[in-house]
Formats: sequence, structure tokens, C-alpha cells
Amino acid sequence: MQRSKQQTVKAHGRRSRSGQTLIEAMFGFVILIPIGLAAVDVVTLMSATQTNEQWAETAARAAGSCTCENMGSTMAKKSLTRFVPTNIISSIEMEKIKFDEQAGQVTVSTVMQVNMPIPMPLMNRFECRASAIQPLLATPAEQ
Amino acid sequence: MKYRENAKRSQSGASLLLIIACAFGLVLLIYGLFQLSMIMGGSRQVRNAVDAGALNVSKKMMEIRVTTDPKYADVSDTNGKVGMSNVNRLWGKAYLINANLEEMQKSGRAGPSASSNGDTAYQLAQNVNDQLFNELASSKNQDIYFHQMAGRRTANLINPGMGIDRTKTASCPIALVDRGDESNLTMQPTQIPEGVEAGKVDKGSKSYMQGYVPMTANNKKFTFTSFHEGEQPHLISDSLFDASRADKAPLDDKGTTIPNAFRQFAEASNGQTGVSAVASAVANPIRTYDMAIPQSYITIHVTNISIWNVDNKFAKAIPYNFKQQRVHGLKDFQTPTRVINCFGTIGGEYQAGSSINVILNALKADINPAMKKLLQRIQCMDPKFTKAKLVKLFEQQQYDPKVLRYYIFAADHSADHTDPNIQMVPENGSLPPWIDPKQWDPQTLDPNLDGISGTPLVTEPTTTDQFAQADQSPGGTPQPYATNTGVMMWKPGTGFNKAVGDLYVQRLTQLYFSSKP
Repeated sequence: MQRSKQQTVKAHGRRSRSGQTLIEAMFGFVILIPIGLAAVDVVTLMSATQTNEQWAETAARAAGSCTCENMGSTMAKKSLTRFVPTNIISSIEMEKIKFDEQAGQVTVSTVMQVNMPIPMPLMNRFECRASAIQPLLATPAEQ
Repeated sequence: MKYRENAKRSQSGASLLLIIACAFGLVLLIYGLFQLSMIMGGSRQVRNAVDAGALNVSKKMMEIRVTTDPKYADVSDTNGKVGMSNVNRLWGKAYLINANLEEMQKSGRAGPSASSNGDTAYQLAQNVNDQLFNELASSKNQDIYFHQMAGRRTANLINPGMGIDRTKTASCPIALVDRGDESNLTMQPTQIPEGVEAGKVDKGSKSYMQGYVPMTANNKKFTFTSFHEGEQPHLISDSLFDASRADKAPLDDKGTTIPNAFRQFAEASNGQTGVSAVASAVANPIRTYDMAIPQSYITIHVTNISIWNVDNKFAKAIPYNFKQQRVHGLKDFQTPTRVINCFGTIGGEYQAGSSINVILNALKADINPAMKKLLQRIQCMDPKFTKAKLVKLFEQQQYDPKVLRYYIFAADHSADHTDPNIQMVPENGSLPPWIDPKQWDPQTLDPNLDGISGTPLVTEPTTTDQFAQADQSPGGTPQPYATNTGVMMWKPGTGFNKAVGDLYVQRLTQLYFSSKP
């Protein structure tokens, strides 16, 4: 009888310990999962930012190979049409272009719409901006 | 009991520790990935900056210009300077001068000053070339243009706000890429004098002087810089650049061939992490020129002389005009036995008119050698000029008997002498300021011509009583008769002193009379 009581106490102890572990694990998940999810969002945002910079670079290079602002703008926009929208990056557009023939430079700014893979309150959608500067290469050398 | 309590605490602490460790590990992993991403992003930023900087250098190198020698003012830019874009033009003129000289030497028509003129033309071009080379290869100039572009960028993923610096290297690698391809100098094979071999590249309907393949004229090496037609400055691979580096694979001993590709190194660092990148770009002026000696001229002059002979002895020389006329050449001419009056119908060869074309074709011989020489030299002024245009020019120009000579030159109202318009103007007409007709000497002709006439280029067979007739009063024995002949003399010039040739047409009508009844 004594022994059985002892066994019962042990069994209760085991149950309570496993329950405690479960609670601790759940508590841990409550901490870890948001960190992990936030990390996914941060990595996505960083990746999108860098992608946006690269597209701005591509657009500026396309504009830099043109002789006038209109053509430069058209070519920059055209270069951005090669972008394939995804669930994360829904769009990328040219925001502005500065075609400085005097200095022989073109600056193109792009804006990218980024949807967070893990939507969080007030942080489910971001707008990334990037700009790139390139030399104007299509203008002939001075006579 | 105490042990059990301790065990319980340690077991419950173990889970908590595990969670904390996992959280810490996860945060560390995220931080590591973040840092890696920053470095990779920063590296990309530096690469992009170096690419843009290298492209800007290859583009802006065209702005580096050096003052040229006055002898090459006609191939300089609107400010009288020479840069990468028009250096081939400078060498093109030097090449034509030396090619003309080589042809003159081979045909025995080089005058005493011709050789030194060729040498001077080459040396002056080389001086300008070397001056330009030093400017192009200068690290300082490349720095300025690199920073115009890369300096406006930051590697903020490595160190926010930090700029990208060009790596200070002892030498700035330059390269001569696209060897054997076209230069930005168009040419016509017919503008190269006979017997001179020029390297050319045919592309579509155009011919270009070959780039980075040294060619020889007058035993001198000429190297043109390759620039692909219709191409913009662009990035090239390091392997392509390395294979054509000027220091590793030079084209000449001096190593001052004008390069067409530049390499840039840059780095960015935050003290702990450093990222470097390299980019090579090939330049292109996106401008082509015609190979020419824009300010050069040819003179044409014609003399018609009738020689009046009595008993095969010279009695009188009378010039005649470009039309058939009857001339009473010897009035009451006293011979040993009697007085005679001699008449001649001369100038019959000009029955078709008096345009330059008629005058040249009045020679009943193949005048193509002369036309070829003329065309070659005119194409030194305007390579697009054709034989048909030359014939038209000659047809339109009537020879004024009061005019001693005509000048053929390229009138060009463009600031950089790239729009030639071949004209033929008499000595007293509206000549450009760089032609001084007063320098002409009837004996030595134009002092600017550094060639010699030598043997006639074209000689017409003598005709008798065909284009001229003689008669006398009273009649004589044998019957009076007239012969007619003509020659074309060609006195070439290298073009160093602007004169590239003089065509002299000399018509000679001999009239023979007799004192015997």
C-alpha cells in the first residue's frame, strides 16, 4: 500500500513535470515563433530592398544608353517590365528620372511594393525606394 | 528529499535554458544572416559603383584634349584640340602625307624637301599623340572621372554614409582591345596612292582604317585606335581586358598607342569588413571621321603656245586661246631671200569648247593616269568625291584665258572641317585664307609643292594639219604645215604644306613656213 502510494505520487510528479515542460515549451514557442516570423519578414524586406536597388541600377543603365530624356524614360520603364510580380513583390515602377545632359548623368528612382510574407499589424505592406545614377553613354563625343 | 528538490529545479531550468539557448541561437543566426546579407549587398553596391565609375571614365576620357600643332589644325576639334575621338583623324592626315610621299619616292617625283616634310608630319603627330597618351594614362584624370560617378554612391550596407574610393594603384591599367577591328576613321581605297598598302576593314558599304594593326607608309609605323561603329562605351570582361593590356601586349616599343579601354579598382571598408571590386570598360566616341587632309589644294594650269618656224628655225612664239582662230603670226617677215607673211589657223583642238574638261580631253591620248592622280589627291580632301563629280566639276568650269591657274580645294564651313565641298576657283576668285596665290612663281610654280614633275604623265601623239593649219603669202616650198601635240605634267605634293599637286597641260602647235618660193 505504501509502495502503491509512493508510485502514485511519482506518477503525479511525472505528469506535472511533463505538463510543466509543455508549458515551458509553449512559452518558448510564444517567444521563438514571433522572433522567427519577424526574421522572415526582415529577411524578405532586406532582400526586396536589394532587389529594388538592382532594378534601379538596371533602369538607370537602360536610360543611360539613350540620347534624350523621353527615350531614357521609356527605356527605363521598359527595362522594369521584365520584372515578374510575385506574392511578395507585387510591383516595381519608375518613380522619377533626372536626365542631366550637362553633367552627362542620369538618375533613376524606383518604387517597389513589398507584401510581408507574415503580415503583422500595421506592417503588412511596405514601399521600398531606391535610386541609381549612371553615365549617359549614348551622347557622341564633342566635335 | 533535498536532492529531489534540486533535481526538480534543474529539470525545469533545463527547459528554460534550452529555450533561452534556442532564442539566443536564433537571434545569432538572424544576426549572422543579416550581416552576410549586408556584406553581400554592400559588395553589390561597390560592384555597381565601380561599373558605373568605369563606364564614366571610358565616356569622359573623350573630354581630355590636348592642343595640337598648327599643321594639324584642320583635323582638330572646334577648339583646335585633339582627343581620343579625333586622334585617328590626326594620324589619318599624317598617314596620307606619308603615303603620298612614299608614292612620290617610288615614282621618282619626290623633291628635296619631301622626305623631311614626311618626317616632320610624322613627328608632329607623334608628339600630339604622346601628349594625349600621358593625359589618358594619368591616374589623376581617371580619378576625377571615376569619382564623378562612384563618388556619388555609397556602400551604406557596409558602412552607412561611407563613400566608395578608387583604389590607389601605382599604374592605371589601360588596354588596346578589339585589335584588327575598325577604327572610327572611314576611308576610300582609292584615296590611298598607288603602291601603298593600307590596312582596312570593310563593314557594310563603308571601309575603315584598321585599328591596332600597325601599318607602314614611308617606313613609318601608323597605328589607329579601334572603335566599333555604332557602339556605346560598355563594360568588358577582365579576361578580354587582360589579353589586350598595353603593358603586357604592347603594339609598339614606345608603348604610347592611344588606348581604348580602362580598368578601375575600388574598395569600401568599415574597418572590419572590406569589399573591393574591379571593372573594365571600353570607350567609344560614337563619332566617325573621314580620313582626309581637309585643307589641301590642287592647282591646274594650261598653256597653249604656237611656235612659228621659218626654214625650221624659230621665229616667234605666240600663246593662243581656247578657241579656233586665224592668226597672222609673222607680218612681212624678212627671210634671206624675200619677205613673207605667215598665217596659222590654230586652236582647232578646242572646237568642242573651252571648259576644263574639253581642255583636258583635247589631248588625243589616254588621260586616265592624270585623272587618277587628280582624283586620288582630291579624295585626300574629300574621300567621297568621285570621278563623275570630277568630270562634272571640269565641265562646269570654263577656262578664262586671263586666268593663269585654277585651284581645286574643299570649301568647308563646318567648325571642325568635316563637311567638305570640292570647288574649283580661279586664282583671282574667292579663295580660302589658307591658300595664298601670291606664293606662285611662274618658274618654280607653287613653293608649297614638295614634288618634282619628272616625265610627262600623258603625252599626246603629234598630229599634222589636223588641229592647226599653216599658210603663207607668197607660197613656199615645201608647203607650210602645222603640227599639234600636248603633254600633261604632274607635280605632286605630299600635302604637308597644303599643296597636294599641280596638273600642267601644255599644248604646243608648231607651224612651219618656207622662205623658198
